[in-house]
Amino acid sequence: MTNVISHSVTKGATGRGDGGEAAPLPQRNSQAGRRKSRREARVAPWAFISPSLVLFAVFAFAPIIAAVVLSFQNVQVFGGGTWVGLQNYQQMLTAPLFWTSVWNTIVFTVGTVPTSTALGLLLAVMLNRKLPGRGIIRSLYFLPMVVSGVAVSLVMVWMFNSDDGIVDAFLQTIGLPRIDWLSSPHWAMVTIILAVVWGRIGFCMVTYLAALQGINPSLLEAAQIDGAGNWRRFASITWPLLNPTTYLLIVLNIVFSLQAFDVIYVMTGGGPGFSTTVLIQYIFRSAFTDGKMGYASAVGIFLVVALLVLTWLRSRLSRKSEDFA
Amino acid sequence: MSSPFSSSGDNALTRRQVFRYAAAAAGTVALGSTLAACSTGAASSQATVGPNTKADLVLTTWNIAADIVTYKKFAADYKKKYPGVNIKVQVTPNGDFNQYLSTQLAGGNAPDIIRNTWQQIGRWAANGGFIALDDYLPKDYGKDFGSTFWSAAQLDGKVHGVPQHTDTFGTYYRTDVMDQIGAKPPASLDDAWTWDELVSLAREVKKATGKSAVAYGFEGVNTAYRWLPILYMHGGKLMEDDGKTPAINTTEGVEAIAWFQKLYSDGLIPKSNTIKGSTTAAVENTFTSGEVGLMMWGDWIMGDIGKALPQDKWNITYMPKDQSAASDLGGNLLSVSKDSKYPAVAADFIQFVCNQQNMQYFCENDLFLPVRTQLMNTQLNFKSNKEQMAVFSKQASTVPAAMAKVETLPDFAAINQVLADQLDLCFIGQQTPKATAKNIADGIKNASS
Repeated sequence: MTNVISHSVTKGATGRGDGGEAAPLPQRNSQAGRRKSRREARVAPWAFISPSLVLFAVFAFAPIIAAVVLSFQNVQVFGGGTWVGLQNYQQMLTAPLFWTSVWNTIVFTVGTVPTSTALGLLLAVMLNRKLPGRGIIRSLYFLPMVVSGVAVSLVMVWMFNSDDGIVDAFLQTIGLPRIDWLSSPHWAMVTIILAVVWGRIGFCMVTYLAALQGINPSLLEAAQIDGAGNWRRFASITWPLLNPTTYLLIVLNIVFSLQAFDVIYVMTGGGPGFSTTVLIQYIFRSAFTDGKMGYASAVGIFLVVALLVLTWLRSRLSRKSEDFA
Repeated sequence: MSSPFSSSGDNALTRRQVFRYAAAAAGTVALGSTLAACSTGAASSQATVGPNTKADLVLTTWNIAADIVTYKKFAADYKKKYPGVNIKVQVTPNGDFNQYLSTQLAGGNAPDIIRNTWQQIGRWAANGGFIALDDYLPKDYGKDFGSTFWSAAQLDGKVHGVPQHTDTFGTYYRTDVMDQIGAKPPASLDDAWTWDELVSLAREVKKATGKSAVAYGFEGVNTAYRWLPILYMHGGKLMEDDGKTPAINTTEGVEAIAWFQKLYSDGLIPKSNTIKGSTTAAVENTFTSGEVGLMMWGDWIMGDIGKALPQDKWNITYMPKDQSAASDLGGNLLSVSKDSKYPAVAADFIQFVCNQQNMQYFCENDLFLPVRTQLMNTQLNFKSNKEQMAVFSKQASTVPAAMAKVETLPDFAAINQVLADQLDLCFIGQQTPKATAKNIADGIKNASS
C-alpha cells in the first residue's frame, strides 16, 4: 500500500502523471524532491485515514475510554461521581441478575448466530442458481433487514400473542397444541430467537451470495469434469473459499446478538420474569432505571471485553483451519 | 446537593458529562448533546416576565395528538400576551420519554419545560434535574390545588412541578357480555363490586367469551406500579410513612399478591397480559375483540376504545373494592429543567397553562381530570364521554394519599423496576406470593439505599 502511494506521489511530484519517464532534474532539486516525496509519502496515508480516524476517535474510542473511567466511579445520571475502585465490578460479579443476563445472552447468541448464518448460506446457494423470479425472491428475503426492528417486533407481538396470535391459530388448524410463545418463560427466548433469525437471514444471504458469485466457475467446472458431485464440489471448493465470508458473518452476527436490544425491549421487556433479560437489557435498566451509570459502564466494559475475546478466538480458529487447509 | 448553575462547577460538570453521557449512549447523540451543553453553558435566570420579554423555550410532551394541539394553542395564546416569547412544543416518543430526558439532562440540553409523571418527578427533583419553583410562584399558590397532588409535587418542602391534571383507572365493561350473563354493573362507588363479586362475575364472563375475562392496564415494565391500587384496596401498603421502610411483606400484602396471581392462574386474566410483555394495542385488543368482557384501565384510552367499538357496546363502571376503594394515580405535572435559560419565563408559562381557565379547557377537550379544587368540585363540560368521565371523576377521589406519596419518592423508578421484576415472576407462576412480597421488600431496601 505504502509503495503504491509512494510511487504515485513521486510521479505527481515530477509533474507528470502520464506514466512516462520524468525529465532529469538538477542534483539539488532532486534531493529536495525526494525529501518532499518521502514527507508526502508519510503524510498521505494519514491524510487518507484521518477522517475515519477522527470519527472513530470521537464516536467510538472516546466513549469507550470514558466508559472505562466511569466504571470505576459511583455516578448517577448527572451530578458528581465518586471514585470507588473495583466496587462496581465486584458488585457485578456477585449480582445474580448479572449472571442470569450472561446466561441468557449466551443462549440468545448460540441460538441466533449459527442458525442465521447456516440458513443464510442455504438460501444463498439456492438463489445462486438460475431461477424464475430470482431477483424478487432475493429482495423478499432481504426485506426484513431494511424494516425497522421495532416495527417488526410489534408485528411479531401480534403474531405470537398467546391468546389470539395467528401462529397459535395456525398450529391449532393443523392439529397441534397452542404454545404460550411470549408469556411462557420457557418459550419466550425461543420466540425472540425466531424473530431475530427471520430478520437476519437476508443479510447473511446477500453477503454469501456476493461471495458465491466471486468464486471462479472454472474451479467448479474442473472439479465436475474430474467427477466430483454437487456435495463434493461444495465441501471441497465452495465452502473453503467462503471461509473469510463465514468468519466475517460469524463475527458480525455475534456482535449483532450481543447488542440486540430493540426486539427484546418491544416483544418481552426482558420477561416473562427474567427469561429474556440479556446483557444489553441489564445495562439499560442499570443506567436508565436504577440511575447507576458507573455500574452500567462496568457491565458495558465486561461486554466489550467478552466481544474482543470471542472475536480473537474466532480469528484464531479461522487461521488454524486455513493453515490446516 | 450542589447547584447545577454554580459557575465553579461548570467545567467539572462538563468534563463529567462527556464521560457519563458517552457511557450511557455511547454514540453520536451523546457527543452532540455534550458539545451542546458545553456551548450553552450555565443557565441564566430572568427575574420577571413582561411585554418586552424575549425568550425561546421548548416544552416537551409525550405523543398524544390532542394534547399536542392543546399545548400549541396555549403557546400561541401566551405569545399574544408576550409577543417576544416563543414556545416550541417538542414531541418525544412515549416509551422512550424517560430515557430521552435522562440523556438530555445529562448532556445539559434538556428542554425548558418538561411534562412529567407523578412516578418520575421525585427522581428528577432529587438529583437536580428539575429546579425548585418556589421563587417563581406567588405565595400560597398551592392552596387552590388538591392537597394530595400539591404534596406530591414537592420534595423536601420545595415545589418541583405544577400539577396540570390527573387521571385514574375505572372498569371498562362490554355491554353485550354483561347482557349475556345478566350482570348489572354498579352505578355508584358504594355499590362497586367486591373482590369476591368480581371473581364470580369474571368466571361467568370467561364462560361467555370462551377465552378470558378481565384485562388489566399494564403497558410494560414502566407501568408495574399500576398494580398498587390492588394492594391498598386490601389494606396493605408498599412502604411505611417514613418513605424508606418496606411494608408489603405482611399478611395483607401477600394476600393481595395471591389474589391477583390467582386471576392469572385461573385464566381470568389473559396470559399475554403480563406486566413486562403487555403492549397498549395488544391489551386494548383483548377488550375490543371480545376476548375479555372487563378491563381495568384509565380514562385516556377511551378514544382508542371508542374508535374500535360503537359506544353502545361498552361502558365504564368503578374499580372493584375490598377493604376500601382505590385506584391508580395518573396524570402529569409541568416542571422546569435545570438547563432552562429562562426559568422565570418557563415558570410563568406553566402557571398560565395551569390556571383555572386553561386547566378546564385542557381537561374538557383532552378528557382528563382537573387538580384544582374548584374544578374538582365543578361539573365539567367534557367534549365527549361525559357520562364515563363522571365515573372517573368520582373514582379519582379514591386514590390513596399514602400510595401517591410512595409513587412520588425519588427512588420510585428503581422501586417500580423491583415491582415489575417480582410481580411478573409471580403472576406467571414462577414464584410464590410470599416469596414475592419478601423479594419486593428486599428490593425496596436496596433501591432506597
